[in-house]
Amino acid sequence: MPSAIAAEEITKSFPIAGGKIPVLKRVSIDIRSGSWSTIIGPSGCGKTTFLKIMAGLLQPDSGRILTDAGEGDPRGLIAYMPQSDTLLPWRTALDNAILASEIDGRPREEARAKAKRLFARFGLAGFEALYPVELSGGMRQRLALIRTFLAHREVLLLDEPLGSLDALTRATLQDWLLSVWEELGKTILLVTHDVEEATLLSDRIHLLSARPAHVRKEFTVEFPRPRSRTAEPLVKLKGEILDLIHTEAFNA
Amino acid sequence: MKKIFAISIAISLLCAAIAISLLLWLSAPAISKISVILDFFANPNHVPIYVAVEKGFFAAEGIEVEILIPANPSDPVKLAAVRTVDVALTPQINFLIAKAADLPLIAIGALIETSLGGLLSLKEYEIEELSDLRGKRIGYSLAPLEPILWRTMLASVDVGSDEIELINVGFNTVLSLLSHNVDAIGAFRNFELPQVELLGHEPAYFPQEDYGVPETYEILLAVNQQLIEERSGELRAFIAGLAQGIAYTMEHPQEAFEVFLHARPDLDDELNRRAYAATLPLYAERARHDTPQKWESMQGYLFQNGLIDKLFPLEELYTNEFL
Amino acid sequence: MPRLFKEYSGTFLLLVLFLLLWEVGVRLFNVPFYILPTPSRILLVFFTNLPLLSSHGSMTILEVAMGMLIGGAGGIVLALIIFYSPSLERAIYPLIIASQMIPIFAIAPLLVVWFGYGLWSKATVAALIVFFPIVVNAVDGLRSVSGETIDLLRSLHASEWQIFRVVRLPASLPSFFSGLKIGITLSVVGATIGEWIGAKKGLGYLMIQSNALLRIDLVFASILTLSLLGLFLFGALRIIEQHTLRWRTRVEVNKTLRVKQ
Repeated sequence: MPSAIAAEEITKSFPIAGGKIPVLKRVSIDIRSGSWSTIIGPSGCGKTTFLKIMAGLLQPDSGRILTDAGEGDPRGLIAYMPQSDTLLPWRTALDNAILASEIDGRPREEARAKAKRLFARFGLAGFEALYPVELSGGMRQRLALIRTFLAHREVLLLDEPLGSLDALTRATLQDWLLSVWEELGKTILLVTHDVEEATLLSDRIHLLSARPAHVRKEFTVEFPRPRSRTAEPLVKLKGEILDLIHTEAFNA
Repeated sequence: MKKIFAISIAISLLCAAIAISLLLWLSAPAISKISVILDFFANPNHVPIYVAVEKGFFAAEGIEVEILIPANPSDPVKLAAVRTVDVALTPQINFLIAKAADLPLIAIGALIETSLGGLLSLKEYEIEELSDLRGKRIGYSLAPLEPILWRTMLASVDVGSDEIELINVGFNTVLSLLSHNVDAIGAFRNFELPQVELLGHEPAYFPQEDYGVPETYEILLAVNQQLIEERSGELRAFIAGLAQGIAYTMEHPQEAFEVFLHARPDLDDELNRRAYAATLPLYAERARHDTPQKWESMQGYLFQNGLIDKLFPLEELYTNEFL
Repeated sequence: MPRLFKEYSGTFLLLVLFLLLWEVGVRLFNVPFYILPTPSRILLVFFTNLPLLSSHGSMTILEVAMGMLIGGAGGIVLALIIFYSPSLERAIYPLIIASQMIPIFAIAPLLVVWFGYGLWSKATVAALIVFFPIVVNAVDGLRSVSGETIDLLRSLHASEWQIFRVVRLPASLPSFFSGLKIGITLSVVGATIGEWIGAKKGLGYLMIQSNALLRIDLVFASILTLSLLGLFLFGALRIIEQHTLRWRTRVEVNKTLRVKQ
């Protein structure tokens, strides 16, 4: 599989009063086209910063982002989903979903029709005319995710999309997200702190160290999907990753 | 225990008694007090009152006079009517309007016995005679009194109401005149007139009594009718003191003005000096306000022009028992 | 109508109680009418002078509306400048705040001299009073957009104009309406004060006139008219707001009613 997008030796520091905080130190990650990659690591290690750099929102101090088109602004390639749902409260669910198409200048009716189909396909039928304030937490995340998929971009960068949900809702949404990805394709780079989620969904897991973050270890998860949360190999992998994280956090 | 209790009660009662007596004693006026509210901001019209206070004329008559300044020119008659103040200074026109509105007032004297008002324009606006205001704009501040006065004046020189434009310019009459937003303003001959002169303009002034408006007492002293019976002694003393103040002012104008400035140092400027000079001949001699024709003609004029809807017999309008 | 009555029955009751106390109090203590008229007298004068009051009222409404338009437009422009230029913000904001400290009584005469005694001087006074709450609220509204929402749009390669049109503008509307609601009541006050300083027509002008004639009942009737005017304008604004911000009136539906698959 060719690379959809790759980060090469990304380094980033943030200035603070009286100096700088190094956040990322020569992080290199290669995302294969059509695959599901997950970045995991202790809190505050710079996962969101890395994702923002991948999204073209921040400039690294050194290193570069490589895409099919070469080096440069990855923005035509990626669809970024921030940590909070950033749904626009004054738009209906349907109109929120077509946000990216609207920015791109595509005709609205066409975008709406397509969104409606996806709504129907993925359990959001009947919610088109509702406002975000009328949706439950789980529904809002589904809507935000559908919006990200509808952005006509190849690579989806998801920053802890299920982090704000309760455990039960999260489990349901993990299965749902998997089914959406399997049907629609796309390349996914997920950031999460939930190890179980990482093992359940990913092809590859990149474990970041504590700050300044570098890639501590990479795991290739080859178990066939759909995976069971309680299957022994999965649980073993989860344990291994957790141990590593704990030592990282401890040493930070 | 009981003993201590009894003693403390006794002491508290004693203290209370002392406190109450003190309060009563302190609040009882050692000398009779009369409160006077001016018709407007303090200005040279009021010199005799300040003179009477400062030179002890009121004290010699056994009263203490407190001078108050109104927030609003329509307040004095109201406050006198409800007896919040004892004496109100007010123009005769305002007084008659108040009487027609059933305010229980009566006039006991006057401070200024002639008219002060008229129309003021500038020679540079090419106004020589009153009829030159045909087709022009006239600014005023007090509606609906002023428009009626000015229409009367212009009618007397055959200029109709439809041939002039009357504009309410609020309190900034001089400003609107000088900026030529209007061509003439209602003005006092002893204030705005010297004011524009001081600013270097040549005035064209038309006194209202020369053009069909009846003569009036520009500043009367009004009290609530009940005060005539209840405090006649003090009112008599007040008028006596005031008359002395007026006499002193007319005989010793320089000293009188110095005394006035001593009480009101903020009015020490050229404008006020000039205003004072213009006012000197106009104070009411011996505070008299009892020329019957002046009352009849003004009351009739206001009635005809719809500013009042009833007429009073003269004895209900003023009394000269204190003069 | 019945629903309206039910919703405001509390207000209505309080009002009736207040008026009763007023009426009884004035009669009991023999307060003269030229100090404080009874509500019954004021209402009588109000209804018998409706033509006069509506004639003057229409002038005041016009001044208020113009004031809102000018102040609103000016406020929006200033808000945009402040929001998009931090250096201009630092320069302008303190001046704007200082301007509000100058009492209207000081400025209004100047405005009357410059703009004459007709509509425009009063509209300007009203505009000056109104623009401040509008600026402050509009700026707050523009700033209310979360950084992450902006990130989202930038990641989609949205232009600055698109970000404004799609996110900032709609996000600032609730605050903007708050500013307008505050502004409209202030605009009525401003127009009235402007009329006290110099006018040919209007409810403020009528108040001064009536006061000089000791027609205090008419003064209060004018005040009543002004209050009704203010209420009406405020209500109209509320309706516009509710129509524009339909999404705000929806209540979050009980989550258990949502069936998730």
